[in-house]
Amino acid sequence: MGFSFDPYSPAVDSDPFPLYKTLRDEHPCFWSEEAGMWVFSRYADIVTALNDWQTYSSASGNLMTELPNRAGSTLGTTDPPRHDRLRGLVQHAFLKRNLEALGGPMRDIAAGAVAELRGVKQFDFINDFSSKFTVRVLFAALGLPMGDEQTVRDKAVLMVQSDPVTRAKGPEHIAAYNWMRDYAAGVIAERRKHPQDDLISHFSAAEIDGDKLDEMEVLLTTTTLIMAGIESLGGFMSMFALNMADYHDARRRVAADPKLIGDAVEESLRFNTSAQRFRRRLQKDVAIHGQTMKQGDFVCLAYGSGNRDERQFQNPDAYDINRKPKGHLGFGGGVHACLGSAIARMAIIIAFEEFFKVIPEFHRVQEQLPWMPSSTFRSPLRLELAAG
Amino acid sequence: MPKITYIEPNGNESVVDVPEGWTLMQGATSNGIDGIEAECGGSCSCATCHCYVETHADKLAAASETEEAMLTNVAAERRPNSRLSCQIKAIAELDGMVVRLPAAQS
Amino acid sequence: MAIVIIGAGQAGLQVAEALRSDGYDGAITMIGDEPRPPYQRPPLSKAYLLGEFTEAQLTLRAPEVLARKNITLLSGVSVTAVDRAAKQVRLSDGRAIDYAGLCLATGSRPRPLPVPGADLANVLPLRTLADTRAIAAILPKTERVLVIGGGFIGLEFAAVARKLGKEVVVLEGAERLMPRAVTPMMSEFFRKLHVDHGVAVELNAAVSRLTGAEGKVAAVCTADGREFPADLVLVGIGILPNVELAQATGLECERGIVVDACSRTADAAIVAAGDCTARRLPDGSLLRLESVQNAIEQGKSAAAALLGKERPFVASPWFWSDQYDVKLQMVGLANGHDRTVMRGAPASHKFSAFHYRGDVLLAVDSVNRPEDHMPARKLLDQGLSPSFAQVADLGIPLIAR
Repeated sequence: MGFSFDPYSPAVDSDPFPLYKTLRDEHPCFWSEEAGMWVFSRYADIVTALNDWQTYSSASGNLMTELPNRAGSTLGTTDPPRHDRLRGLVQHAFLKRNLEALGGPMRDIAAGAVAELRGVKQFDFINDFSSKFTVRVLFAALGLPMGDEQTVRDKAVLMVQSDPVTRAKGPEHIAAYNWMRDYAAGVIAERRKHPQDDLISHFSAAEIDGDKLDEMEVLLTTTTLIMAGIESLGGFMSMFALNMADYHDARRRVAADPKLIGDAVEESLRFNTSAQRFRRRLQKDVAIHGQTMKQGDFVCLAYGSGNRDERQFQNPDAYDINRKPKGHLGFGGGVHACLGSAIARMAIIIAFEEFFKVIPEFHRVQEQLPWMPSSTFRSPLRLELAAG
Repeated sequence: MPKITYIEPNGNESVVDVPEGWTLMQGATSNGIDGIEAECGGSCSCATCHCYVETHADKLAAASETEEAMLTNVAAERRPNSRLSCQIKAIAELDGMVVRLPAAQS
Repeated sequence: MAIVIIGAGQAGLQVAEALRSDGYDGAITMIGDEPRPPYQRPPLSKAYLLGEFTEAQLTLRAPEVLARKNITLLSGVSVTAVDRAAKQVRLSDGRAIDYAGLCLATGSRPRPLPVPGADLANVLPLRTLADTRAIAAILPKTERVLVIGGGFIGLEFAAVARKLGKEVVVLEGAERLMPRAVTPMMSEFFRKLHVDHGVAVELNAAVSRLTGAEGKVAAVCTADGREFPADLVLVGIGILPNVELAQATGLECERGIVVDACSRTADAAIVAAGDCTARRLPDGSLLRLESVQNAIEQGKSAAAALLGKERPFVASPWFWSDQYDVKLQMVGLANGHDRTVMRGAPASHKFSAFHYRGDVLLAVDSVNRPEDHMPARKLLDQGLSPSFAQVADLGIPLIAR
C-alpha cells in the first residue's frame, strides 16, 4: 500500500511529525487524495509559496477547510492589493503604542486567573487557565462586554474544527460560525454607537485616503480576530504549556529565569506551533519535484513540517530553548504572516511570567491527550497538569 | 601565532599560522583555503565566509547583531556553531582551534 | 593551450582560480601592472586608512598560493598591445606571450579632475594601494581635508577623515550626494549623516580650479567664487574603464568592453571581466557595474566561457558601503521605479527602502538592516515581490530561500 497523508485523520491530529518526515524525504510535492490537494512539506518550498503570492493565492480561502463566505473578504483570504488595503486599515489598531496599553490589563488578568489555581494539586490548563486568560484578554482588547465569555470561547473553539468523518464543516461548526458573526455584528453596532479606546472602535473607524472598511469587511475581520484571539492564542498557549510540562530541564530553567520565556516561546512556535497547515490556490501551473500542479489546484503549506525540516534546522526534532530559531513558520510568513504576532508574543510571555510565579513546577497527568479534530490547527482539547 | 585548522568542504584539513589580529577569513583566503569566498573582504556585508566553529567556542566573543542578521541567510545550513570567519580575530587563546567550512557560500 | 589574463585584481584572480576549479590544468599567466600580488581594494577607503587592516591583510592570495595553483603572476609589467591575428600579447618589458584564450580584466582608473591645479601635490585619487599609502603619509600632517565628489569613495573617505579628527568639506557637483547610485531619499539621509558628523557638505558645487603654494595644494575654488582652504584634496569623481587595449585591437567598446552575460566578446578567444566591462542585457541596453560582486561573477563566467561553457551572470547586483556606524547594503537596480515602500524610519538609522515598478520589486536599499538585505537578494534573484503591506510591517520578518 502506498503512502497516504490525510490531514483529516485523528492520526495526523495527534502526531503528524513522522508523516511529515516521509513527505519531506520522499514526497516533497505530494497529492493527498483524502484532502484533494497538494502538500508542501519542505521549508524552502513553503517559504517560496508564501513569498510568491501572485502564484499561490489566498483569495479562495486559507483554512484547510474553509468557512462560508470568508474567501475573498478577510485579511487571510484576499491577495494584494485588496489584502494590503485591508491590512493597512486594520493594522493601525495593532500599533505598538496601542498594544503597550494592554500590558497592564493582561498582567492583571493572568495574575487573577492563576490565583484561582493557588493550592490546587491538579487542573486542566486549558479550562482552568488559558481559556480564561485568552477570552478575558480578547474581551479587554476588543472592548467586548463581559458576561458572554464562556459562550464566545466555546463557539470559537467549535468553529475552527471540522468533522473527521465528512471532512467538512459540520452543521454544528457552521452554526458556531454563524453565531459568532451575529455576535460580532451586535458588538460592532454597539461600538459604532459608543466608540471607545479598543481595537474594534479603532479599525471600524479607520480611514486611509478616504477609504474605509465596508460593513462586511468589519464584520468578517472582527470574527476572524475573535477566532484568532481565542483559538489561535489559546491553542498555542496549551502547546507551550505542554512543552514546558514535557521538557523538564527547559521548564526548570525558564521558571528560574523568566527572561528565557521569550526564547522558549520562539522554540515552541518552531517545534509544534498550533497553526500546522494552511492552504493556497494556484493561479498558474507549477512544475516542481517532478510533479505538475495545475492552475486552480489547492496546495497545503505544512508549516509544522517546514519547522521540522532538517534542511533548515539542525536536529529539528529536539526541543532546545537555546536555539533562538530565526525564520520559523510558527506565525506563517510572507504577505499573510500573522498580524497578531506581536500581541500574541506579549500575551503569552506575560501569562507565563504570572503562571510560573504561582506554579513553577508541574508535570503532565494524561498519557494520551485528546487532540482537537482540525485539519488546520493542532492543540489538545484538555491538558491535565499536576502542580509540584 | 595561533595555529588554526580549516576543514575544507572536501574533507581536506589545512593547518595555518594566522597572525594575531588577522581574521580567520584572512587566514584562510590568503592561504588559498577552499570553501570561503569573502566577497566583501571582511566587512560583514556578504555572508560568504560562513564557517562552523568546532572547538574553542568558549574563547570567542559573541556575534554582533549585524553578524547574527547576516548568519540567518547563509547559503549553507545555519547551525548553532555557525559564525562568519571575518568576524573572528585570531588571538593566542585560539591556538589549536578547528573550523569547518560549508559546501556552499553563495 | 595557454590562457593569458591581463589584470591581476579581483576579477583577474577570480578568472585564474575559477579556471583551476573548473578543471583546467594548462598554463595560466596573469599580468598585473601593480608591483604586488592581488589585493582587496574595498578596505582601502575604510579599515586600512583607519589602521584596522595592515597591508599584509589586504593580500587576497599569498604568492606561494598562486605558485601552488600553478598560476604565473607577472607583476609590475603592463601589456602594450593585443595582436588578435597572431594571438599574442606584447609586454612593456619587450616580451611577447602567445595565448589560446585571453581575458581582459584591465580594471579602471580614477577619472582625472579636468581643472587647473589638479596636478598640485597633495591632490590624490583613492584607487590603488599606492594612492592610499600616499594619503596615509600625508594625513598625519593634515588638518583640512577637502573631498571633491560626493560618491562612495569620497564619502567613505570623508567618514574616515572625520574619525581621525580632520576638518572635512565635501564638494559635490550635483544637487545631491551619490546621484547615480542612490535615490534622492537616500542621498538626503547620507547628507544629514555627514553633516551630523561635522562634515560640511556643499552641493551644486562646481570646482573651477585648485590653487597652491610651493607646489602643494592650498585651496579649492568653485565656479561661484567660493574658496575652500585645504591641506589634502581627495578626488573621487568616478572611474574610467581601461578599454584602450581592447579598443586598439578592434573589440567593441561603449562605456566599457562590451560583453554578453557569459563575459564573452565578439572574439571567441577573448573574454572580459570586472570594472573594465559593460554587459549587454537582454533588452539591448548596457550595464556597467563597479563592484566586487561584478568582478567575481563575471570572473567565473569568463573562466567558464574560456573552457567552452556557458555560465551567465544573472544574479541581482549588490553593493555595500560603510560610513561611520552606518552599513548601506543595496541590491537590484532601482531605475524606473514608481513607488518606494519604507520599512522602518530613516530617523532610526535602521530602515530599508523597497523600490517597485507597479507591484514588481526592483531594488532594496538597506541601512543597518542586514536582516532585510540578505532575503531581498534571494527574493530579487527568484523574481518574487513581497506586497507593500508586508514590507511596511516591521513585525513580519522577511524570509526567503
